Order: sequence, then structure tokens, then C-alpha cells
Amino acid sequence: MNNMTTSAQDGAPVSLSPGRIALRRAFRHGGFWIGGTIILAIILIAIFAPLLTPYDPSVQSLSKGFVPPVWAKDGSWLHPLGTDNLGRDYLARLLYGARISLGLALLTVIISGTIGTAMGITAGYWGGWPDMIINFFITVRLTLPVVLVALVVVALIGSSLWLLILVIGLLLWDRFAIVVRSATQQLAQREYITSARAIGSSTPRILFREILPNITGPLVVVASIEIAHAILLEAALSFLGLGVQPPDVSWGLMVAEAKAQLLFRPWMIAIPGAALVLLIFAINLVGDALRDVTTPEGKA
Amino acid sequence: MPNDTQILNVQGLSVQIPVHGSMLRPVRDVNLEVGRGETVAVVGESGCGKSLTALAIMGLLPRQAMVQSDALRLNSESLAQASPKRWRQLRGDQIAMIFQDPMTALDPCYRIGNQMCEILQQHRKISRTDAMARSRDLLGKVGIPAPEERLKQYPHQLSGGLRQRVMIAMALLCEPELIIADEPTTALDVTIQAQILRLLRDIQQETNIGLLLITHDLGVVAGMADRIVVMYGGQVVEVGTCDQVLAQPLHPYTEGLVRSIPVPGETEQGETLGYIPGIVPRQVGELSACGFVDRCPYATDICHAKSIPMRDADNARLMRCILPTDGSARDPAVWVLPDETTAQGAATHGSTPCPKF
Repeated sequence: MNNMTTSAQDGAPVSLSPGRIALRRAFRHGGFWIGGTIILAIILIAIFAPLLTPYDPSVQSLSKGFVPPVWAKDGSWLHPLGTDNLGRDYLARLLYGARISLGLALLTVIISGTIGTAMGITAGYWGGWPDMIINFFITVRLTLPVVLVALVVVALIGSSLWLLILVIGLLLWDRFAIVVRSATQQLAQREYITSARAIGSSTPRILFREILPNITGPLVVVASIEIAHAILLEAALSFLGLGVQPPDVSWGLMVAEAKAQLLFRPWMIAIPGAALVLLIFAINLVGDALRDVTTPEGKA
Repeated sequence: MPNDTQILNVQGLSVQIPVHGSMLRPVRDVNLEVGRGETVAVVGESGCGKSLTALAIMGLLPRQAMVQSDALRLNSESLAQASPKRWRQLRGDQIAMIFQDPMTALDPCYRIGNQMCEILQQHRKISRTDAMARSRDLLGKVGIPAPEERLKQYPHQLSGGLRQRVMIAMALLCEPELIIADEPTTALDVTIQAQILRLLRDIQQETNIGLLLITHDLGVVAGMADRIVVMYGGQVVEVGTCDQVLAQPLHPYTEGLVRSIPVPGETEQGETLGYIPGIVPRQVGELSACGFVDRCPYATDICHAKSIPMRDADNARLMRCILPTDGSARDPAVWVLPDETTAQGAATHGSTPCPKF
């Protein structure tokens, strides 16, 4: 009974909301702490990037190209991570790159989450032909190779940050739809949904007040997975030259630009690569922790 | 019963559900009346259409189900033509329902107080504070200690008995005229069952509402009901007052049910209890024989030849059987089969072709 504390007078337990209980459990979860700290740090870095480095990530200084990082021979604290071929400060690029990677992932997941949740709830609650149609769309979507479709769209229409967000957002809703659909199907059988109808609730009310709050657990978990997915997809597209375009900078783009120097200046590809690995790892840790603390009967 | 005290009047209610090409008919031509201050028990074993009847009255069946009725009236308002909006107004306000499993009938996401206030605010113009106050009063009325604290709790923090009390309080919130209780005590343990039933009965008598009690437990019925409606295979097979039906069952199915209850003090140790062999057949297509014929120990050629209509018996009772009403053709021994005959009986019953579907 770790979620009840006994009040002094009458022994009646004090109640915590299911959200609070999940949060409490999360704070006892090691993975949540480690992952959460890393993500928080990266978010803070992204927000306060201008305060953390005096350099502009896109200002070139050709005479100062390929300055090695501080730990290499000839390195200096002037450019702790060195500069790239155009003399842009590598640390500044890394810090500002976090902005695009994170922002893009967040917007993408908001788009895909909205689409997928709407589709999943519709299919799961009504069943019948809406379910068949939506299942058809899910199947079609699953047959499409994401990277290929994104490449085709970007190659045909041209690349811009907003287009990239839209394309990835419109492609990654499948997991949301599948998970939400099955979760809703289970809920729709529950007696409290029938009971909500028996007290005269309208359908929108049931969908938003009864079903949606009860599927937030799986939703949050899927969202965490999809954020990682979106970041990787952006990195892949940028690496192929069809994602983020200069002068914007993202970690994927940095990896792409550094690939020519792989054998001569390996740190140039290792640094943004490591940043990506760290971020994805942290997101997955938090996702795992969230799955642990929001198990179906996690409310009990 | 005079018409002005009648709350619920159901005539000729049928439910059909298309399943894999064939038409399931789980409810056939059911008539039900519930008066003000009256408790009517619908009795029958699993699969005989009790719950579907209740859901049809509430308008809560899934869309695939086709509901037909000659009359479905609540307080002389015909529900057959009611719009979905009107249905939503009526549900929770004039008809309330108590569900079988209190463990799953409350939304785990909301505090008890929230769930109760929501009902009130959907149906009445009432402030949140007043709604809370009324919810608290009702929780107290259904015998929940420290109602103030309970309002702030979540369903998972309450025991099964408490949750069922909350369900009853929720059903009472808008002072409905009719409460449909679908096996309200099946999911509870026996000591709690008795408390909940007593509570339901007290509240029903105090507020003078109509109570439609759906149960498979004749023991529950005995202490509660004014009238009993026995259902079998989607049909009403017998109607009578509680005492009449339990003391002198007319339909062989009712007789079988009554014989299979152990009575403390009367049933001897080692005595074999009666039972009804077989299971409820699936209800497909039109009936061409009595619905109970495969399991009836008194079955005759007539029973196999045509479906049996409802007929009046003595003392304003109704029965769907051709047996004489005076009990002269009855033989308690047919329900308690010796072991050999049981085996034989099972074999004969096994040879009776089950309806194919």
C-alpha cells in the first residue's frame, strides 16, 4: 500500500491521483532518473545554447578551418571541440544542433500522435467498417518504407525544415494507431464505459472523458519510442542530404558533413554521433521506465 | 395493476443479432411490467436472455442487435421512438442501472466524487458544491462510513462491497423511477451480498421506485421480489408472485430450479440435489417446439410438435407449458435421477440433435 498514507484522525487513506502515483513510482525507477537527467540536460542545452557558447554556429572563418579539439595536439580552449572545414565552432554547432533535433522530434510526434490517436480511437471504439477502413490505412502505411517515401517527397518538393516535420509526422502515426486501437478495444468492453452510457453520457464525452484518460499510459510510452524514431529518421535523412539544410544545423547533418573526414579527423563524426546515441539511449530509458510504471493495472 | 402506477411496460420485446450469417434470437417476445414501489425479479440461468432484456430496455445494445417491441413504455412515454438525445436524458435520470461487477463499473481515472458529480451535472442544473453535498449525503445513506473521505478516493481504494454501494448511490443520484440491477451481488462474497440486498430493498421501499432485479440466484429472489418472471431460452416461461412461484412452481423449468436449491435444515446430508440436465440451447431461427423440450422430464409429443403459447394459470399467474396447473402431473423423483438413469438420461439427451449453426 505504498500509495496510501494513513491520516492521523480516522484511518481513512489519503488519495493520490493515478498520475501522481505513476510519477511517484517513476521517481523510484533508476532508469527514469538516468534517462530523465540526460534528456533534461539536453533540453536545457538546446534552450540556453546562446548563453553557453560565444560563437554563432553558422559564421564561417575559412582561415581557422579544421582546428583540432582541446585534447588533440595543437588544440586550444578557444574552440573546445575544434572547428569544421569552414572554420565554424564545433561546440556551437553541437549545442544549436540539439535545438533542431529535439524540436523536430517533438513537433513530429505531436502531429503523428494526434493522427494516430484519432484513428486508433475511432477504429477501436466503433469497430465494424470504420475499423476495416482504418486497418486498411494502417496496413498500407506499414507497407511503405518510411525512408524511401520521405526521400521521394523531399526530392520532389524540395527540402525545408517544415516540410521535413510534416513528412515525418505524416509517416510515423502507425504505431500510435495500432496501440491506441487495441487499448480502446479493451476499454470499450469495460463496464464503466457501458455504465457511462447508462448514465446518459454522449459519445464525445465518453471518448474524451472516459477513454482518452485511460489510455494515456500506452500513449506516453509510444510517444517516447516515436520521439527517438523521429530523431533517428531526421538524422538519416540529413545524412543523405535531404533533411535539414545548411545554414540550419542538426546532429544528423553534422554526421553527414563529417563523413569525408572519417579517416583523418574521426572525432568530427564521433562527437555528433555520440550525442545522438546518448539522446536516443536516454529517451529509451525513460520510455522503458514509463512502461514499467504505467502497466495496465498500474493504477491499483 | 392499475395503469397509473405502472412505470415500465414492455410488450413483445424481441432481440435479434446476426452472427455469421445466421440470426441469433436471444430474446423472444418478452412481456414485462414493473409498477411503482414494486420489485420484479427476472430469473433464469446463464444465456437465457436476462441481461440482454435489461440492456434492450436501457437502449444499450450494440447497433448490430435489432430490437423490436410492440410497446416499450416508461411512465407511458414510448421509448421505441425516442431519439438518441432523449435516451441520453432518460438514462441516469429516470432509469438507472446497477451493474454486475463493481470492480470494473467505475472509471479508475476519476475520484468517486468526480464521477458522482458528473452524473448530477449532466442531468441537473446544479453547482459543483451542491452536487458534492448531495453525493456525500447519498454515500452516507447507502451506509458508507466517512463519506467525505470516500468522495476524494479512487475506485481501486475501495473494496468490492463499498464499490457496489457507490454504484447504488450513483444510481440514486437523480432520483430515478426505475432501477435495473443486473446481478448486483454476483461478484460479491456471500456476507456482503446480504448487506447489499438489504440495502437495495430498504432504499426501494423508502423511495418507492420500481426495481427490476436480474439474477440467477433464487435465494436472492426469495427475500427481495414481489413478482418473479422466469426466463428460459429467451422466452418468459412463468410469471407469478414470489411466494407462488417458489412454493408451487408451475413450469417444469422453474420446478427444476427450485428443486436444485439446497434448503438448510430440510435437505438431508448425503441427499442428492435435483438438477436440470443439459444446457440452454443456442437460440437460432423460429421455434418449432417448446424451447425447454430437450431438457424437460415431462415432455410429450405435443411439446415436440409445436411452440407452446403463454397461458393463464390460477391466481393471475402465467405459464408457458401444457401441464395441468394443479400440480397433479408432478413427480419430484424425476429431478433426482439415480446414477444409472443419469447415465442413460445423458445418453438419450445426447442423442437429441442439438440445433446446428
